[in-house]
Amino acid sequence: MSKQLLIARIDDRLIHGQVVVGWGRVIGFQLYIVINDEVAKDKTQQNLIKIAIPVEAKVLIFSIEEAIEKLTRVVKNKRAMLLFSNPTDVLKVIKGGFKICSVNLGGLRKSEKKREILPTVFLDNEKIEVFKELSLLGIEIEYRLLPGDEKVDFMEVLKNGKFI
Amino acid sequence: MIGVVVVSHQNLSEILIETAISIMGHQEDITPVTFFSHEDLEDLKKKIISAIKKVDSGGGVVVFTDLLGGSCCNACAEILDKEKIVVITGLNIAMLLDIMVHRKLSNFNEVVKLVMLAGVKSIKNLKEIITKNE
Repeated sequence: MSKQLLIARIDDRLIHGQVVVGWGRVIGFQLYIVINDEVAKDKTQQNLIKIAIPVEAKVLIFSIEEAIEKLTRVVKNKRAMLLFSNPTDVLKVIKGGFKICSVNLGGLRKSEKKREILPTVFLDNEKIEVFKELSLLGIEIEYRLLPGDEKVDFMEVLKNGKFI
Repeated sequence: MIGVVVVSHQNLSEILIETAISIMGHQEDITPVTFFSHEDLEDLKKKIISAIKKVDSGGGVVVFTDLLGGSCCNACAEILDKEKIVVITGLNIAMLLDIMVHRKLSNFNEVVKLVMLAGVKSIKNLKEIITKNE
């Protein structure tokens, strides 16, 4: 159980039931890292996140800048889940030098002027471009709400739906 | 694996299971029993017994009921003498999620303890714990 394991997830709800119970308790993460500039400044959101995490696990909340500086060191030999609220932040962290091979896409929910790609994924053109860029860097983007669900190749979904 | 039966007034049991599955993913050997106000208590007892049979694969069965002292709870009185069957009252979603996490463990009594603890631990005054954290 001590082997390093890293799951990076894009989910605009960051920490919620599917994440802490559906993923967390099934895989048994030791560490949750929320990487988000807004949450890094927001005490109330930070407190809500701390409450949601099981007592045996640890939670860190990083701004993008802090993440780039500290991630490699803190995830070493840990089973960790990285949580991003959008693909742009993932791209920034990767460009900052942190290596991620695969990204799990959970949800980017509905808001105005976005197109429905999948029932829990809504994107505008700008965000579609970010996914294209991640894919060009060789990063696997797999859509899956829960660890037991089948992985769906998200770039294929974009292609088949003629979004790219 | 431990079988799970959820017994409730109206269709709360169905909805609770559906909700827990949306968080935890697909589950085997878990079944709801509903009890509507026009129904006969003897029929409810029969439904509970057949639900237990349906989910029992030898690892024991946990029967959750919604309310201590309610009809669903009282209807379970007859199954209390059976080995490896427990009835837990006052079901909440945290308990249901917890049994989904632990039901593959072999120590039945230990799982029962964990599940009840998870239920109790999930009840908090949010304002109080947030203030404490600050």
